[in-house]
Amino acid sequence: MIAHSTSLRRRTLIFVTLLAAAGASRAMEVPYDVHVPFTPENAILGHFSSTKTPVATVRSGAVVRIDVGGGVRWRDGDPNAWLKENGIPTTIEQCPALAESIRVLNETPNRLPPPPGSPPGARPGGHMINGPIFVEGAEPGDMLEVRILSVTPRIPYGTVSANPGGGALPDLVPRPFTKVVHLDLKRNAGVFDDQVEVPLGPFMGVMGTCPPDSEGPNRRSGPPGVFGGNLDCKELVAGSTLYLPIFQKGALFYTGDSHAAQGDGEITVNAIETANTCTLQFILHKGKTLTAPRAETPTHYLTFGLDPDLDGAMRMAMVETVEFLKEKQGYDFLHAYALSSIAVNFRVTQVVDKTLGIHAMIPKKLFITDPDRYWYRTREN
Amino acid sequence: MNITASHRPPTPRLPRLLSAAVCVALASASTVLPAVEIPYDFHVRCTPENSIFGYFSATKKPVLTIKSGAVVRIDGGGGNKWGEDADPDAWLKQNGVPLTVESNEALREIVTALKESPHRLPAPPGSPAGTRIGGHFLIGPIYIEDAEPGDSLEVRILDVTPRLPYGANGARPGGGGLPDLVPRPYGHVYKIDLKRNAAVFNENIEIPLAPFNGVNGTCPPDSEGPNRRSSAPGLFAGNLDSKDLVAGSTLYIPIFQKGALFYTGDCHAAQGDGEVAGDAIGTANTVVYQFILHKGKTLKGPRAENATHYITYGLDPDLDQAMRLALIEALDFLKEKEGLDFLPAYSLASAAIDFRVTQIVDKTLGVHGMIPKKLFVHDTASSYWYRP
Repeated sequence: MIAHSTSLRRRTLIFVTLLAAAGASRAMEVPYDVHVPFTPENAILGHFSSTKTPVATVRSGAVVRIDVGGGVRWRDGDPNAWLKENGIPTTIEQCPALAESIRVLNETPNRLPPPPGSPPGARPGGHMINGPIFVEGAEPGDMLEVRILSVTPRIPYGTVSANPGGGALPDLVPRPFTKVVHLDLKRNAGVFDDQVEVPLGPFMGVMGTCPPDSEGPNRRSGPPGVFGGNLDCKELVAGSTLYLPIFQKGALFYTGDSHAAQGDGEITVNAIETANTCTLQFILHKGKTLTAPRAETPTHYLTFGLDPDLDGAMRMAMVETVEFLKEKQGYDFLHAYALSSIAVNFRVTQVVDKTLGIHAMIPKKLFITDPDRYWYRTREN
Repeated sequence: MNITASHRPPTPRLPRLLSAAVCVALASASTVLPAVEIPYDFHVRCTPENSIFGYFSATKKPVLTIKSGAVVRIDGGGGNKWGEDADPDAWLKQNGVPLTVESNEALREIVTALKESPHRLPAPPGSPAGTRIGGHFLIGPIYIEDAEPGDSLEVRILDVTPRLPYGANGARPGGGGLPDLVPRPYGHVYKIDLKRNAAVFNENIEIPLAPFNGVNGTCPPDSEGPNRRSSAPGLFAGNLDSKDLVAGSTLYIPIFQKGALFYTGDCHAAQGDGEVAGDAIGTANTVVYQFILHKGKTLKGPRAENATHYITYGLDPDLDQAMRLALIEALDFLKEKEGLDFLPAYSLASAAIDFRVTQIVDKTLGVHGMIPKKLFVHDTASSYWYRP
């Protein structure tokens, strides 16, 4: 929890100085106004709350660095022994992100109550999330633009797990399984084994505004919704933008579920799960009402379809795409539908979060008279 | 009905190049369309005898018989959106296409094949006299010597080029991905500009061309019935409508009939993953394919490959099931390629394989898994035949 009284600029200076003095392992390259560390107070596990005290209150335009934990896969064992056993060249003492994660899991009060009949002392877990961030002036019916300025893993590894009864092939998984993937940030590689490396594409699986009251008071973070949340969309890397409808005063933005890389589909129910720090800029659009999340990258517009059934998700993604093209180009249904068929790519976002996802990729290069006013610049290959 | 070139015996390397040069010369003399630049051994034309509409037949006489390794140019049909009984020239004029059937060789072939091909399904009982059943404009079959059920066919896609300067698509109530929302039949005609590689939607929007044939398949097994309709894809591939099957890619197909009996058609100039309105940009393509027979290599279903990815397919009337099948195929592939057991393969798939919607409009829906080759750091890219 941080104070909101000082000016944003001054606070930036203070935090940057603190970071440098504390010998932070990686210099942050993107300047920010506010830093939200991953503390027991700031953290929340597995759900969204409209009553949790905000971790920061910001004006539209503020840039916020948000740290999130992850990587805790040693169950009841000794963390350092587990790290050593898996060839991970760090210890809890050397790695602030791991120390923070352990403290959060031990101490955070922000978790759901155990289900009735649980053994005494049971502590429900779920996605490691940080938030909410209160955006001044935000009201239900407005829209929040989230510019993703940077996303960087904070630990030198990630894990991919599968469990019987979970994921896309619940019936075929014989036993619980966890694969450790070493993250080589210098080479942008996730090392799977001697023969196989996965290019990194770090992103936050969960980014969302607080769900509407109609979803209940402590909405679980597993299934995504029209408020975003656990979209698990691998396109939402640095340089992309997420647009979210706002359902609560202050928007109450949450993020978490740190991923180092993922395939479209996220089939075991895990990406390369890690601990990320992200730098996000929040821009409030008053009176701009969205019916569902949308996103944008330097090369594409994205619409999302979400439904327990993949056919239903596909339909929603199509309808959202047609709506987008109608708004953008003034087309009627038929023109938008025809264009969607030949030039828009529909991909499986994930099939493992109970509410499944399809996303449509609408190439910007189709619109030959549009100037490029997007905020992020990429090099052409 | 065989085409002239097919009577030539298979030729050694040098004469083959010479014969290709002759064909190119002939092509440039007789048409203004782009010359096909890739040398080929045989040329299958779009004639009434070679054409077949909307189904696959195990008994249609092969249009060509080849040995493994042969390179075949196949001229396809398409773009005939004027309707069964309408006047093509009036339709072309109305849609601003600066051609007439008389002036354009490809259109002349297409109109003749539509009018005269005997290879159509019979009209259902009770249809008005003279009803002609349409469907995908296909060419085939090509008979591959020594191919037997249980073998597989590698089809290297060397080139795909539109033969017409336009393409068309549309939507109709009751069809496509949003059948209930289409208020009326709708058609859209696109100008195809090969020089700029663009299909012109209107003055604000252009689509990069990525031509491919929607239908590429071996003849279905007898269990699918004698005249299997071409609309729904299957283990024999067929109407995969997979936009990745452009020039430089390779399709691997199980063989179910003696001779493999390869068919191709449903020519597309560009398509999005999903093919949501029911149509890509329909046009007529000339393709150049090389056919390689793999004796004793049995496949369960189609697979594909390009310079950057291995591709597996899942096909099912339900999209959730199609996803499941594409995933299981991807895990089988990783098992075969890297010896990865189910759990490591499953983990890797979650981290690094992209699952995309191939199409949702062909009754049997498709999802495909894109497995990046760059994951396999010890594999050399140079082992693939095509250089991007």
